[in-house]
Amino acid sequence: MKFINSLRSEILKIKGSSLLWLSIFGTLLIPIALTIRNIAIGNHLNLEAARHGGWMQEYVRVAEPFVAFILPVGAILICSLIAQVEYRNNNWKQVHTTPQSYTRIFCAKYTVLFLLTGLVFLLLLLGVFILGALPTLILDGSFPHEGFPIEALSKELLKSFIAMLPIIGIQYLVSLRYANFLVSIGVGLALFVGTILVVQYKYSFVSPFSYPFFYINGNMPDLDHRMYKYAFAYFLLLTIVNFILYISKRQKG
Amino acid sequence: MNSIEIRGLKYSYGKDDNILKGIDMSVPKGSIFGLLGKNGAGKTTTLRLVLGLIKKQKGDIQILGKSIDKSRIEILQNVGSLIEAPSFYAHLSAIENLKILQLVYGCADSRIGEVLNLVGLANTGKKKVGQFSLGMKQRLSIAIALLHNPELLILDEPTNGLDPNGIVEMRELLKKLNEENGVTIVISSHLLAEIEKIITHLAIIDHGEVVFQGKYSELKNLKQKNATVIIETEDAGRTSEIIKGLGFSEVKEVAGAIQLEGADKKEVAAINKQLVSSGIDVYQLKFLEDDLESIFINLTKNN
Repeated sequence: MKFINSLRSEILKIKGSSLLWLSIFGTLLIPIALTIRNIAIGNHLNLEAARHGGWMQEYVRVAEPFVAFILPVGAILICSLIAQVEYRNNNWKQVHTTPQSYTRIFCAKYTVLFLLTGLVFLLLLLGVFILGALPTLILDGSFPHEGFPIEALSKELLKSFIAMLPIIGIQYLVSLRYANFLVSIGVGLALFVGTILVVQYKYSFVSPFSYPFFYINGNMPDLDHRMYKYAFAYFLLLTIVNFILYISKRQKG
Repeated sequence: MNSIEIRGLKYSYGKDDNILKGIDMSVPKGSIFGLLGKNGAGKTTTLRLVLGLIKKQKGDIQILGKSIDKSRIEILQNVGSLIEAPSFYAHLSAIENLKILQLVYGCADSRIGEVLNLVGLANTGKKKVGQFSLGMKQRLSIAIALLHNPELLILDEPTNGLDPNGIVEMRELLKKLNEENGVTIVISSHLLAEIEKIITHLAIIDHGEVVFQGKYSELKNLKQKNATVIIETEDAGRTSEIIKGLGFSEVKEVAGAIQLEGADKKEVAAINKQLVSSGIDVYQLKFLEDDLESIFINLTKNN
């Protein structure tokens, strides 16, 4: 119950902030742009195509640019903003003088981060549905209600979510560690751009930002099926390091 | 019983930066305790250590009878604080800011309205805290500190940014909380005049050491002992000799009058008798500095 209350207080902190709008706008940007394009050029998902893998094709069209580019940049911004909510008005001292354990504070904030990420993936699912359904509804006057592969799409979303975890791990660590917003953004963008340059390299898995690219490419150099295990283990390691750094910080506000 | 008990508290930010050099301090339960000192004396560091905001290096801190190392959460459930600048979420209203803390403290929803009324912010509605004036923000910080009905209130320079009316209101509020609810209040300031009207006890801290600690009345007695007296007579030269003859060494002649340091009221009366019996006409006897500023300066100067 205490954790739920801490979580509710953390959720209240982001109410009306740019975080929520950033997540919604950032996620729906590509599906909506593609939907408008499809309507404009008369491209739509007919019933036959919907029954035979058309939905997955729509997903791939959205997922490729989204997972490779928008999601990493979004994760950089969201992690930074979660920490900045406290840094901006020197609120850490207020947070750390409330009767909450450091573990509870750390976990409540992390949970908000995952709730936002969960929202992003739900919106992505909605975006794929809009992309498939809306042009068909407008152009055909019918609804491609058949064949929406909710199970297969959920599986894909889970895989892309795991591929994202190392980015969340590193960015949350940097954002909690440094009060200056520019440090976390700078580190994130530098790693992101650096990863793009070396993603084909054998050891590129060292970069937390490489896993979304592996997801898009369908494999990881030489490691293939172990990619998700690596991503999850990397995330766990970063989280443990982050937690130790957080609780052992000499000045807490 | 003491609400705060500090023994041998030392803290340094670096090898040669010993900000606290072994503080011993006791805050009696039910008191309004002033923590005084110049900027950089170590007041805020002491309060931050008390609240666990910085890691203790040496010494012992007991709050409400418990160790801050072992019972941090239990202690913080009964402590309200305001350290340095006010903390709040600028994109939220005052009610939303308080709601965040109400959830964490687990206190009644009704407390939000009560504390907003108490600090005069009940009519701010949906206005974002970022649009508040500095005084309003300071009052909101007090409301936050009071939300969970704390036994102990720790306020670091709470009158910063308040106008004279705001300062008077704040004083009245703190007095009321102390008298009616029995809240122990620790209030730090570098301006003695600001808090001398409400404090019952105080500690003066300078260069990381406590140079005075006790009841406010004890400091007032000390003040009388250290007061400067101006004595104006028909013959300053002879007056000076007579006073020195009585064993006073801090005697100066300033603009035809005598300036005497370190004499209390009884001693001044004795000097007056001696002067009159020596045939010297005494025109004026006057104690200078009726506030605590001079004693504060003397204590920190000696240190």
